[in-house]
Amino acid sequence: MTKEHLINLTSLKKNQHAVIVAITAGHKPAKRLADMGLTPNTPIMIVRKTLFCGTIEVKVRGSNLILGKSIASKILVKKI
Amino acid sequence: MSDQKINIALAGYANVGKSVIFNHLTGLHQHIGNWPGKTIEKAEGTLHYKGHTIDVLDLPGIYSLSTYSLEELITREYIISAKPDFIVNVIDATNLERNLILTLQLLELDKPMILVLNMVNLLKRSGIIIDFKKLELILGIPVIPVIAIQGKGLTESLDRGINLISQEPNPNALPYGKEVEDRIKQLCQILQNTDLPYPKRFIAIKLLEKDAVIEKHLAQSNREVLEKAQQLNLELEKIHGHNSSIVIADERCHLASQIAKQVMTVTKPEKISAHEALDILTGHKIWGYPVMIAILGLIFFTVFKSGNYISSAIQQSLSGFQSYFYSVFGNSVLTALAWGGIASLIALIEIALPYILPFYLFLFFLEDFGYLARAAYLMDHLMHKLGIHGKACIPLILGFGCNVPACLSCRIMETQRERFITGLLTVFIPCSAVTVIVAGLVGKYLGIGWALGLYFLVFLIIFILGKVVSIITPGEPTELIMEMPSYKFPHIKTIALQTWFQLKEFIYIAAPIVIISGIIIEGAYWAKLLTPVNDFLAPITVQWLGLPAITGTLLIFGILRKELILVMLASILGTADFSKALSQTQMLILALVSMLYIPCAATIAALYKEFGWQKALLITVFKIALAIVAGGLVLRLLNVLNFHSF
Ligand SMILES: Nc1nc2c(ncn2[C@@H]2O[C@H](COP(=O)(O)OP(=O)(O)OP(=O)(O)O)[C@@H](O)[C@H]2O)c(=O)[nH]1
Ligand SMILES: [Mg+2]
Repeated sequence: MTKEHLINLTSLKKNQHAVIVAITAGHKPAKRLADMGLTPNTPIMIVRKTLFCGTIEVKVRGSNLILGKSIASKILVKKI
Repeated sequence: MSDQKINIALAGYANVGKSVIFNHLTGLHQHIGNWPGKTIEKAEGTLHYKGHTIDVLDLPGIYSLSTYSLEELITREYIISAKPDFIVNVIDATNLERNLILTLQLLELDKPMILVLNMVNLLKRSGIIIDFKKLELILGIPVIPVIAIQGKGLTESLDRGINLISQEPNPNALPYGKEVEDRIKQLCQILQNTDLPYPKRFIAIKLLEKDAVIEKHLAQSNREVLEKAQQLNLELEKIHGHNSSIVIADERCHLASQIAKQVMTVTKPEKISAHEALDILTGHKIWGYPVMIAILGLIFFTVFKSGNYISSAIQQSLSGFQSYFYSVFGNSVLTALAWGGIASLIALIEIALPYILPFYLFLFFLEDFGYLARAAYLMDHLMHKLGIHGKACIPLILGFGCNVPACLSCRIMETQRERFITGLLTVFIPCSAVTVIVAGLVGKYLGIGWALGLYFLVFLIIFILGKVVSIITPGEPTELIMEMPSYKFPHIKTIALQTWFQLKEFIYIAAPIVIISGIIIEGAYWAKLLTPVNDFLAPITVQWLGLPAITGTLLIFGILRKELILVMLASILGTADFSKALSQTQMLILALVSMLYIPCAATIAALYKEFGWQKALLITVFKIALAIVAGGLVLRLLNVLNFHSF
């Protein structure tokens, strides 16, 4: 995979699917996400976003999570 | 094995129904609702079942057994130190895959365990079919489908758990990938007697996960193990390219996903359900906001209208009671005192109950339905401007009911700083008792527009306050990561029960306080003690705030419970027709001051518990000062604008 294909979660649109490639957040939030099932290679879907690219609701492993803007921007994904 | 004492612990993700099960088993009433993070402290209860005495432990929901948050560490230690005879791992059947990640960790504790697959009644709606028997075969522990809210499957769970006690725990080995398993084995081999209460395999895995607490514990006794672990971690990181703690988490996710795939089939339902449609509307990026305002508006409108109606009806039916009372018992100091108590009780029933009960019904409905999490999602952006994040909305909305549980629920915020800011803002939210004052004075005599205006003013103050506090206590807000619960149509019985507990609190706590306060005021009146108190406070109440002198006494009683302000006024006046004693301006100012001034005694206690006495004192003093300043300023503003008052 070349670097160009990597985008962060916030730039996906509603209903788009992607696969997590890396999480560039600090150790604690990254561990939290991993504990909740967001690890590299996990498929992820955007359920909805609030206005102004704010908060994102995603579907991961069959259930929904909400992610703040700053953590979402640290989740790098590639579109599928 | 009858009359045996058994300990069990309920463990699992947040919002999976642990407390519903706990309440069902023990007859106690832990806070339940449809958002993650309600249970903040362990709770214990007992149950007598088939000759056994079973001690049940309800624990806060956790997402992992690693030490991300203090709660998780505490919960992990409780699970061990409570020495449960078996662990009841409650999981949400509609969220099987992610819940299994924690199940795998709990299994590593090597305790007898049963898996309670809760909410199976929601599976059909989501188009999910789970093969329970197969799951049981794969895990090697009992798996029981349960509908906690209806109590279905709970006795079977107990029976199968009790059966486990006499057996050796025998769950299937669920190995991770080879390179991880090898390293776990290497660590297990050199792990000497640690005085940690965990099994060796668990410690080894936690070392690969860089668990700070376990590392610290082994720092003295097992230096060489730590060094070995560090070396193995580096190797893992080289192979996988990321932190070894993530490698382990990833292994677990992988395993959970494998298991879920084998036992679960999902067919997407063809048409969207009513719940989904509501979810789409209430969480919509544009429509979500007007809907939110409409919901809150509807609640206040209905509560004000129906409250006024019921309150007037009760008032009329009880109007002749005072003269009847005196005609029967005669006129003496003693009867006057007794009447003071009775009149206050009547005022409580007349003025407070008609507003508080419907209000709680609405609030519990929203909470159990799952709306609070949507509010958190929608308001996250705005909350960031106050240095906190969307989750803070949950305590803030709960605050409309009662500030005390709202203060306690500030623990869903991650850092001390966020908890404090959220707590501070929460105690500015007008609780149901304050709503009684606003509705009974302003809503009734000036109209609903003025009442809503007061709310708007308070919200503005909260926003400015949050802004200022977030600037003077610098720090980045933590990242918002929260599970979004699906909408669940509330069980009517649950809501009825929750409202009943509220009513019970009214009968057992509010009523005695009100009666005693009524007698004290009546006695003080006879002993001519009211005047000195009122005179003492007159520079503030009369001169600065333009209120009648008696409000001095009322505001002091209001510290006990806010509704006392209005209830005592009615009892002193001998009528709930407040227009006889207060002008419209005075009603507005009294309502505003009641909204803002000192938190009630129970809230101060909650603040003390959560934030320590210094912060509790600070908030208390600040609120009093703010109420005085704001009340006086609004009065002068109304005078300048020539507000029509009569
Ligand atoms: N439909 C349905 N809803 C359920 C069932 N069991 C629990 N619930 C609902 O799930 C929600 C969460 O239940 P709780 O018992 O409060 O969850 P908890 O695991 O104690 O949550 P925390 O204390 O926040 O960790 C509540 O709204 C319950 O009404 C069930 O069997 N069916
Ligand atoms: Mg609970």
